[in-house]
Formats: sequence, C-alpha cells, structure tokens
Amino acid sequence: MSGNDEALLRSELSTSLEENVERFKALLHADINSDAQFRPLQMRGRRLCAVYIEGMADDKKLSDFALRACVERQEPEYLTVDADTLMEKVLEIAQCEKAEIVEDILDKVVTGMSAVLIDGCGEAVLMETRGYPSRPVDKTTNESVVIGAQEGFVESLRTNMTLLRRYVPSRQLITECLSVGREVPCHVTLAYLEGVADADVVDRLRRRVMSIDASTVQGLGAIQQHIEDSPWALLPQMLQTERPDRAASCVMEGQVVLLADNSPYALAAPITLFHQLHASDDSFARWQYGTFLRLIRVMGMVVSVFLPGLYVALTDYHMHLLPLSLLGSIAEARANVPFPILAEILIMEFSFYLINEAGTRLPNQIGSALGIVGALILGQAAVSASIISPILIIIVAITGLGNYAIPDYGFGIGLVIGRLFVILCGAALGLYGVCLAAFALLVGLCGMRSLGIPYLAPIAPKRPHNPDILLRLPVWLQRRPMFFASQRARTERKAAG
Amino acid sequence: MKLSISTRAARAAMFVAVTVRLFLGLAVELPTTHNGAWISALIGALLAAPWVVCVRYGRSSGLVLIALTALDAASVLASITRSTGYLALDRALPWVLTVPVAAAALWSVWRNGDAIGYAASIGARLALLLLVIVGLLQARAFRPAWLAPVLGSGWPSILEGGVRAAGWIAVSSSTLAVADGDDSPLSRLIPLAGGALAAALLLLLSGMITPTRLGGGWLNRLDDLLCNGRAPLYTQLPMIVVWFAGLLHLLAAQCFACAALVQRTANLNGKWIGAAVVAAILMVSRLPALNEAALWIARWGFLAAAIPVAATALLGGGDRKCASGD
Amino acid sequence: MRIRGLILMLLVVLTLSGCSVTGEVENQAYVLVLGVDRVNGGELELTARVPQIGKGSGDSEESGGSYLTFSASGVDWPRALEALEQATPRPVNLSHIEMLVVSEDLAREVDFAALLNRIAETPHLYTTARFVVCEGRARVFLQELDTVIGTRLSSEIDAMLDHYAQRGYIPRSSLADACFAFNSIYGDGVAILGTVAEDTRAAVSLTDPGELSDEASPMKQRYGGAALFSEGRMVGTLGADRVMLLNLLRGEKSDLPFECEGRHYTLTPKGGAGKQVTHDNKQTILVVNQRFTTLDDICDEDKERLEAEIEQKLVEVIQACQSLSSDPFGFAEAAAARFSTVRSWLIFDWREHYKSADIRVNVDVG
Repeated sequence: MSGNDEALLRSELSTSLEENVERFKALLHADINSDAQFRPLQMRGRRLCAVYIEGMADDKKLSDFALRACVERQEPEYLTVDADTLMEKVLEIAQCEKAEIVEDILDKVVTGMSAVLIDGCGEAVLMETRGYPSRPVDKTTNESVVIGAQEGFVESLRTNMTLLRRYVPSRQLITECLSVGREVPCHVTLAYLEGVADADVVDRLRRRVMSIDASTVQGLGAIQQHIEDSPWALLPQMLQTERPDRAASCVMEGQVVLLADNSPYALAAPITLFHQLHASDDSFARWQYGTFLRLIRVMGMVVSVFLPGLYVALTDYHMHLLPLSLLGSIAEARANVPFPILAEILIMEFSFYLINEAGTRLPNQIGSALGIVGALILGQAAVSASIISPILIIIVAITGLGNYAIPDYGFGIGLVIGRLFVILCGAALGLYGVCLAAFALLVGLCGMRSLGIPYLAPIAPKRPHNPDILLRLPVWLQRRPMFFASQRARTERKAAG
Repeated sequence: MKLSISTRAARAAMFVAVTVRLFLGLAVELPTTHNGAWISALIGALLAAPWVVCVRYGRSSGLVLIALTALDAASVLASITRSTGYLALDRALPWVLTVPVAAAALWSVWRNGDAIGYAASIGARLALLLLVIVGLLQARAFRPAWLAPVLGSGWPSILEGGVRAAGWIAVSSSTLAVADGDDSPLSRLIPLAGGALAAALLLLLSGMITPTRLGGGWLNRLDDLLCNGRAPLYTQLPMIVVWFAGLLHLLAAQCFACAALVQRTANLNGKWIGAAVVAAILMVSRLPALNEAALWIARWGFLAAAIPVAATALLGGGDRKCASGD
Repeated sequence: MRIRGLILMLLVVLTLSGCSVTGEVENQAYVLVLGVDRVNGGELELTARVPQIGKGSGDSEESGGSYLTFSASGVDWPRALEALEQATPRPVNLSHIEMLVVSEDLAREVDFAALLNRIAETPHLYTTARFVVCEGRARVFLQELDTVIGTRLSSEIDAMLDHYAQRGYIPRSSLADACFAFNSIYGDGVAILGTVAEDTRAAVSLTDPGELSDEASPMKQRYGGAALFSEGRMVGTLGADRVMLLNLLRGEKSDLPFECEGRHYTLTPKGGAGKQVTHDNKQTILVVNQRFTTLDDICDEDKERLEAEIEQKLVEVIQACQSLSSDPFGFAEAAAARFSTVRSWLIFDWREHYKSADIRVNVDVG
C-alpha cells in the first residue's frame, strides 16, 4: 500500500460528496473491482451515494429499507439531510451507525455493510446490510454424537455467535469482538461468562490475540498457533469444537471461547488433557454410560500410543515376557516375512496413514472404493504376499481404532506422532526405550500449559474438581465449576451446592 | 531460564525419590540388613526428619549438596544402565544405554521442576496401580514365612542401614532445598514419612517373593526382583516398568536439584547448567571409582549432608533463619 | 534451543546401536526342554529340544509339532553352552525353557548346588522351568519327549505336570524354587522324579519310579515321586504314593484320595498344613495339625481309624525325609519364625535339630 493510500485511509470524510466518492473509488480500486458499487441518489435535492460491495451486501435489504426510504421521504421535516436525520428518521434498517474515518467505513463496507455518503456532511451512515451467501446451520461432520444436539458451527461468525447465545441465554455472556491481521483483518470474538471466567485468563487471552503480529491470519487455526503456550508441543493446548453445545458448556465452565469469521468451529481455552478425551455424548448420556465410554477412550489413547512400540520391544528384545504360546504364534506368523519387525510395522503404519489421509480427501462417491483398496492392502493381499504378518495387522488395526476413539482430531494426530516416537524408542532400546519414551512424554505433558493452566491439572497438580475427569460421576455430584473459573464463581456455586 | 520448582511439586518429587532410593539402596545395592531392611528405612526416615525440615539453600550446604547429589545421581544412572543390561540389552554398549537416560534427564530438567514434580506424582499413582496388578498376578507366589527372622542380620546391621538410609534420603530430598516459597515442617515431613513407609512396604513385599539368601551379587538381587521365576515371567512386566520408571523419576529429580543448586550458586542460564550437570553426571557414572564413591555416600552421606545444614540452622537460629543460609 | 533439543533427542534415538542387539523373533532356537548329563571324562552334556519354526510346527497350532534335538558337551557349564550354540544353527534362546531335566547321577554330585546356581545365573535363562531329576540319562529322556494329547510341547508339558501335581503324583517344583531353597537359609529343595521306560506304559508310577506300571500309554517317560535334596545335593527319593502327603505338608490344597481298610475316601484339606516347631527340654518337636473334610459317609469308629492311618503315613513320610536330613516340607520356615536374627538362626543349626526332632501329627477328619 502506498503512502498516499495510507494517508487517505486515516483521513476524515470531507464535506464534498465527489471528493469522498473519488477517495472510496480509489481505495476500492473501483476501476478494476467490478463488485464495488457506488449508487448515487437524491433526497430532497441533497445528493447521496450508497457504497457497497455487490454480493456481500444484501441488495434487497438495501433497496427496500434504505434506498427507497431515502428517495420517497420528501416531507418538510426532512429538510435537513445529515447523518443523524438519516439514522433517526429515514433509514428502516435496525442496525446503523455513524462513521467519519475513511478506514473505519471501508473496513465495514468490505465485510458487507453499506455506507451512505452525504453531500455537505462529513459523516457517513453505515448500515448493517450483510447478506452474503453462507451455509445454513447443519449437522456436524467431525464431532457427531449418538445422543444430543446435532447442529454445528458454520463459517459465518455472526451465525456462530447467535448459536452460542442460544445455548447460553445469559446476560453475563460477553462476546467481545476483536480484529487481527494487519493487511487482511480477521474478525474474532471472545466469548465468556462475566463473573465465571477468571478475569486474568480472559485478559491473558485477549492480550495474546491482540498481540498477534501478522499481515494475514487465516481463521482460528492460525490464531491458535499464534497464541498457544507451547507451539512446539505435539498436543494442542486449545480445544477445537464444531459443536455450539460443547462451546457453550466450555463457556459455562469458565473457559473462554474464540470464534472467528470463516472458521466453522470454536476454540476453547484453557483446557487440560482430560478435556481432549471428553465428548458431547458424555453429558447427554447417563453417567454410567458416559463413564464407560470415557474409559474406553482412555484405553484407546493408551493403546494407540504404546501398543505398536510395546509389540516391537517385546518381540525384538524381551521374548521372555511373552507367553510361549503367543511367542510361538508370532514366530510362526513371521516365518515368511522378509522384513524386520520395525520395517514391517513402519510399512503398515505408513499404509494406514495413507489410507486414512486418502479417505479424508476422496469424494464421498468413491469413498467406498477406498475401503476395498485399504482392506486389500492391509489385509489379505499383504498377508498372502508374506509382506506382513497377520498378527501385525491386528496390532495396527487395534491401534487405529484406539486413535479413532479420540474425539479431538488434532489431538489424535499428535498421538500418532507420539506413537512413532515410541515405536522408534522401542525398536532402539526395547522396553527400556518404551519406558524412556513414556517418561519423556509424561514430563513433556506435565510441563505444558494452556493459558497458564497446567495441562494435567487437576490431577497433577491437584486442584479441587468435579468428579468429571476420567470418570464421570452423576451430575448432582458435579457442583463446582472447573478450577480455572473465577474465585467468585467457585465460592458461589459451592455455597449453592 | 530459571530452574524453579514449587513446594507442592518438590514434595511430590521427593516422595517418589525417597521411596525409590531407599528401595534401590536397601534391596539391591546394600542388602546386608536382609529382612530388617524395612526397619532400616523407617529409622533412616526418623534420622533424616530434622534434616528434611531444616534444609534450605545456603552457600556451604549448597556446595555439599551439589557434590553429594551429583555423585548419587551418577550412581543411580549406573544402576539403571546395569539393570538395563541385565534385561535383554546386555550386548549393547554401555554408552548406548546411558546416553538416552541422560538425554531424558536433561529433557526433564529443561522442562523445569514443576514438570518433574507433577510427573512424579502421576508416576506414583500409576506405579501403585501396576503394583496392585503385580500383587494380584503373583499373589500365590508371596510367602510371608520368608519374612522371618524379622530382624534380619540384627540390630547393628539395621542401625547401620538406618544411617545409610538417612544419607540416601538426604540426597533424594534435595529438591526441597531449591523449592520456591516456604512450607511448614509438617508438610515437609509428610512426603518423607510417605516415602519411607512406601519403601518399607515394598521391601516387605520383595522379602515375601524371595527368601533371605546369604551372598549373591547385584545381579542376583535384581534377578530376584524382576525375573525371579517364581511367577510367570509375563506377570513381571508391570514390575519392570515400575522399576525403570521409578529410577527415571529419581534420576530426574536429582539432576534437577543438582542443576538448580548450581544455578543458585553460579547464577547462569538454567539450560546450560542443566546440560553441564547432566553431562558431568553421565561422565561420572562411567568412572570405575564410582562404586567406592557410592559406598562412601551410603556410609557417610547423611553426616556429610547434615553437618553443613545443621551448622547453617544453628548459626541462623531456628527454622525460618535456616532458610537464609549463610 | 528447542529445535536443537529435538534434534539431539532424535539423533540419540536414531543413532543408537542398540538396534544391533536384537534378534528377530522367528530366527531363534527356543529351547523348550534342556537336559543336563555328566558324561565320560566328567564333561557336561547338554541336550536341547527345540521347535522348528516355519514348518508348521514348533510351538505352533499345527498338531503334533516338529522338534529337533541338539546335543553338545563341554568341560563346564559355559563351555557346554558354547558348544550347544555351535551345534545349533540358530541363536540358542533359553528364555522359554519349560523343563530342566538333570540326570540323577549329576544331581547326587557334591557340588551340584554350585552347578545349578551357575545354570540359573545364565543370562536370559529365567528360572521358571520345571525342575526334573531323571533316572538314567537326561538325553534319552528328552529324545522321547513329544506331544501326545496337546498341540504344543510347551503346553503339553505344562498341562501334564500340572495334572500330575494336582493328582499328587509329583511335587510342584521349579528351577527357581530349587535354587532359592539351595541358597536360602530355609529348608531344602525338591524336584520332580522322572524316568524312561523301555516300552510304553502309564506315564505315572504310583509305586517306586523304578517299577513299571501295567497301564498302557503312548508315552515312554514316566513321572512319579520326588527327588529329595539336602544341602544342595540329591540324597534320596520319595515314591509317588508318598508325594501326595509331601504335597499336603508343603501346603497344597488338592484333594487327598486315601484308602483305609479297603474303603476309599476323598479328603479335602481344610486350611494349610498347620506346621509348627517347638522346643521342649532342648528337644525339637515337629508338630503338624491337619484338618480334613470329606463328603463320604464315615462313622466315628472308621473316622478314628482313618485319622490314625493318615497320621501314621504322615509320620512315615516325615521320618523318611528326616533320615535323609532333608526338609522339603518347610519346617525350617516355621522354626525360623522363632528367631529374631539370621545369625541366631544359623547358630541354632536347624539341620541337626531337624534330624533328631520328635514328630507329633494330629489329623482331624470332620
């Protein structure tokens, strides 16, 4: 951007309509941009100009409640045509505001609002006319549940905020709008419950968002990377959810939820490792079922990380720890396999990731073909060709299933990388290597924080908490908010409970 | 980077370190007390209690603690290597076995004290779970009759074991000397008592799985513990995990304490100090003379650690004063 | 700094030459049964029974299994083991030995305990194996080993010996237990007694192991009885008919079939054998209080006769062992509980007291 443009942006509107229109045309590159629209009109002889982006602004709303209203108002009381008069007496659009700085007006116009410039007036009226096409609220794609609400966030920030408000109809709910990105701004909303979320945590998150120094920020994924406590860590320190009910539950627990334009999910923080293992089903199902499912997920996580590494360690180094009958089966199964166990398991893991990734990218119509190919590669063909031993297929299949039981996608990928680390350590040093890897991972987890909150809290360090960490006991026993909520909320709820 | 640890994390690290160090010392390294080892563990805790209450960083006590902790950490590192060698990796080069442990210790020092303490508290819970599994799997193999004669080699031996245990406790609880903030004597004694009781319980359990034997080397004792053949070997898997994990937690706590003490003395970047301390411990662990040093620590470690701390306490006059050190 | 740390970690893991010490699971010669003999010139001869992996055999599900037998000898244990490595075209893996068979002649040697310790201390030979002493050569004993009912030799050995121990024909004995007994301050070890018959007869002899049973069986090996040890060497045997009582005194809870005046009773031990050792006027007394329950109809008169008969048999078993200076029952453990220190226990000289101890057995059939 040239220095001239910078100056133009920061300038205030002039009283000359022509001059203002020329400025906006220049800044919007109207000679090239065909969707930048400048609609001149007159009201009681005073010239006006509506500026909007075609497609972003709703034509119908603009013409019905703004342009027609301006043109048809010819009564004497509209003698003075200025921004106040337009807002108070003419425009029939609910949300209007005045603005006089060019940059402020332009930033709103590019998001779909419309501006009315008035000849002889140094102020413009900004009207909420956003009406760009967007996906309707639909079922979630990645976080489906058996029982419970089915709707998910969409790409529109406004819709997402509405969804969140619907689940948290409280006057304490604050939705604080921020903007990040120097050149292409990304609109972000911080949502939290005043008095429940810890003010320090909110302030910390706000400061981190505001301090993002990037020319462009593409959605919440990029924001997450900018503001996480340990960006080098394998596991995410913020919870991604595409479910408004889950985001609402986070807000009610005292967490802060981040929403952003064009991101069909929310980010919640602070979180702990245990949040990553919780799913929405847990809260909808009876406590016995929720607890059982959660334990299955924990087992899935442990199996996913350690089973292949343990298999390599035991079969390569510690045959004595395998019962002889099992050892015999493994040895027989491997008798014709040409690869060492490490190579065999890496081949299988790689094939598994490949099928997984291909399945994600493939159109639904040919997805079923992938299943056949996958089953052939991973199954009968590999065994028949003596490339893979059947027992390894079982190991990799159980491992994969364990990984799929993890509700959080990012967390699952982190675990996959951790699994590779454990496999390598197991191959290098056997059980000793697996112990070392487990120790390193544990210490790494214990050293992680999410918005300053220890990642393994409330277990280590111990903090007061509901019986809703690994086990989920009945709801009537869950009386206190999470330890990271504000002190006031914790005291009040404890007293109420 | 400042090497720091909260009192809560320091207590957790100390609990695990005391438990593991006492067990390693009394069951494997110097099992002369035989069945009386559990009494030695408790006597050691009693002897070390004033030390644990009083220990704070002071320049003179800090230097002694650095030396003792580093030597003991090297001895623990050597123990890990030897037991690993025993367990199916006997043909691997010693360096191959030692360097990864040192790397893990360095990683944990770099993650700082809280990570070590919190990891220890989780490790303790997991170990308890695994020990319960081992107990259930091997319930038929336990022979309470093997706990007789109750006093093992007799009172002189038990008392000597108690003094040695106190020395091990002194070096294993040095994390308390570098903990941030101040805590009450009671809160310092709880992990000590817990660690000593846990060690005593483990010693009793190990006494029930293997009978008192006269003679036998280090490997025999490890064999008795990890692969004694009295129960199906696959039931020993959790025990092996507990063994290695326990030693790793102990080593990490000792390396951290040593590095943090050095930082308080030299005031340098924690990352570099951590690397230097772990490298030094690694080198010392390969020295042939380490065994003698370890024996010396086992015999005199308590007095060597206690005298400067007591002197600091007396000069300072009282619990609060001993915090100020010199 | 973080990147450097990660690179350091990766290098440490990837460059470890620990990888070189692995042996692929299918390329090992897993010794299932190991026999040890003393042969001409005093050399130790080792015989190993190894499953063939990859031939639909070995310890696989394929029925019958396919096994190879390797033998080698050396002047001592390490050299014999080295010779066995040479004779076997795969790395010998001793981690899954199911049964260690030692010839009786070897077991009776004075320094047998030292040899057994040497065997037990062999790296990767974990001492879970059953400990068998066989009459004649261990090599012959091994050569005749094959699966009969089971699908794998290992499970066959397990199932068979468990079955015999449960029935009371043989004692439960492992290499670990024997070694611990030899090295510990309590009691003596015990081993399973086996022999090979010229023809196929019942695998168990309820009389003397030397005698053959008339019951038909496809096996040539016969198990029955216990080898008794004293101070680390074999000193005698106990017939299979007495092993049941030996097991009872060692704390086994199996039912005891007992015949008294032509009537058969099945007795269920209630609680463990109440072994006590008392000292009365410098005389050591071995006390056994054993209670049984039975579902058989039994009148008071028969009950008293039965109790007296059992008491008599138990006394005979204890006396037989006493005469050999062997305490396989664990009276030493009961006696040691009265001493506060190992030293005072060793000074007491249990073995001398045991040999001359009085025996009091009280049996109560409820």
